[in-house]
Amino acid sequence: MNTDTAIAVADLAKNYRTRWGKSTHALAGVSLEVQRGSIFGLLGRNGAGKTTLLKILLSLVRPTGGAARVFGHDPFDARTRRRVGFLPEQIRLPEYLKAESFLRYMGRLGYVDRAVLARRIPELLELVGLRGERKLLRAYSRGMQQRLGLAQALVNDPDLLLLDEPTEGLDPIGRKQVRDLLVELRGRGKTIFLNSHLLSEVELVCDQVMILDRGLAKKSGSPGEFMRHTGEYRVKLAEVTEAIVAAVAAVVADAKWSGAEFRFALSGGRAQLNALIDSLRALPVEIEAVEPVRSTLEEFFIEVVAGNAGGMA
Amino acid sequence: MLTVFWHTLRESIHRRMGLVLLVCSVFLPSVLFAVSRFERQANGSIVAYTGPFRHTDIQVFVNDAFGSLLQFTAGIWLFLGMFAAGPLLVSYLEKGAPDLLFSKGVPRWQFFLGRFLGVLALFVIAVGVMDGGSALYLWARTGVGPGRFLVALLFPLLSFAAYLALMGLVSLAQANAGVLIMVAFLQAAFSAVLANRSQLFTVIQWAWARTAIDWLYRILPKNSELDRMANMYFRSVTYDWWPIWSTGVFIGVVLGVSLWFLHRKSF
Repeated sequence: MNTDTAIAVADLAKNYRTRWGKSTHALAGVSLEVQRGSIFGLLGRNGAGKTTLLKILLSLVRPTGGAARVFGHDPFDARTRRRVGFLPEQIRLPEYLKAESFLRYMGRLGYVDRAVLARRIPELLELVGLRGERKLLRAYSRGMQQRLGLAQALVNDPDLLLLDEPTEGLDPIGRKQVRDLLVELRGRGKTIFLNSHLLSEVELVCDQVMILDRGLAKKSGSPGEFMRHTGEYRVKLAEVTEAIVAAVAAVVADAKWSGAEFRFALSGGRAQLNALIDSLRALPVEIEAVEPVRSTLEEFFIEVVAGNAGGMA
Repeated sequence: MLTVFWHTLRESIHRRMGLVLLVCSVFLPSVLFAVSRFERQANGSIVAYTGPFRHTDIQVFVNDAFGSLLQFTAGIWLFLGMFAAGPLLVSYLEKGAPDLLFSKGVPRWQFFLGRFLGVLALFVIAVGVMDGGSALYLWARTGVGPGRFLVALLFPLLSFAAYLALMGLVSLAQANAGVLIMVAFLQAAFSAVLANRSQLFTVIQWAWARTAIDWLYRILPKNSELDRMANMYFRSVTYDWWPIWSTGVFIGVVLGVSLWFLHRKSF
């Protein structure tokens, strides 16, 4: 493992034993590396093993096999955890505290100096939009709890931030704020490990993505690699007439029309595309757009977990 | 650990039972002494009045008051303490809390010991306010020193620590305050039965059962005997080391086992 690696996981396995002695695997030999200063997204269905992996990195769960290292150290070493911030999916807040005293408590548990906390807590409350909130935590909405959860994950100014569904319960503005914050933190050299169902968000912020399915790493790469060209093109026209449909059919046999636009698979290469444009230009029609069709991360994800994308890449 | 300790005390104030314990520890002796009146006689002796009753032997009066306080502490107070301890020993283990707390830089053993000591401190404070406050009041009014009474209070404190250790161990398997309180009550009842096992042996004839009961008696804390010894010590300064050290060993071993379980536990 080189010094640029924040998280290194090799052949990680976790088996759970049910009350009746039956063994089920949550992780079955997962390996991954997360570079410092990057945002890593872990995707997967419910029960794919995402939270188990996250919990092993936090020493909350003991692995059955394999090894996990955080900044080159065992996560079970308490000193390693002092460099990590964590936002759990399900957060239980001490209801009788206020935001400020809660953050002070969390900060002290992270061995943050009192003087540093006195300066940092108002900044964090400002950052998550809870400055001046005087209510007890029991009166907090789900969104407010999530914002405070994010603040407590940042209270020790961690080098590594592990976030389990960080935008859960937030409104669209809150989600955008969190996304912007993650990008800003990456800019400050922080490493972020994101666990999310919200593929559109992962697509927007992550540098690296891994798809986990039934405890196995199915695909790993950058979101750009996953959102690849499908080999299809979309042509959008101002209007559609019978003459246009006939002209298109003469060049591409499998055009799928939808209103004034159609999609087709390019079987004859660039020459076929140019021939199509030429035949359209010969007609009295305005071409509004011609663009390659790319799959979204969501489409790719569904393809992978449905078993169509083959083994680990 | 100190952060966890202070937080436990703070949490106890916010939870009703912890608050009830502290309020009662101030309220009960206040009521008790509101009905007492002391008068210095011409010969220098002090006479106490409780309602219509006149107590001329002040030493006997104060010793009776201390005796009642000891019984109260070793009885109702211990049970109130269990009710206060239950929720405090499980709140950091309930769903959603370990993820938040154990992912911080504080090792798990410090959480466990911080909680244990925090709850014990709550009980010590409550007993200190009630019994210590009463002792100082009586000392100031009558001149009868509370030395032996204060030492005798260590017996119910040891007994409470044993209940706490047991509750702490159970909390790792079942994070439910009700279950913890039930286990502590069972131990209280069991220790009384085991302390009087000779009576049990009149109906149990099997040698193996008697041996098993004897071993149970040796292993489990001697809460019943400790509570009785508090009064014995106060009255006559006689005590037996066996229940003290064997309960101390029980607490040490159970805490050690609990820390090991917590260290190995997955959340």
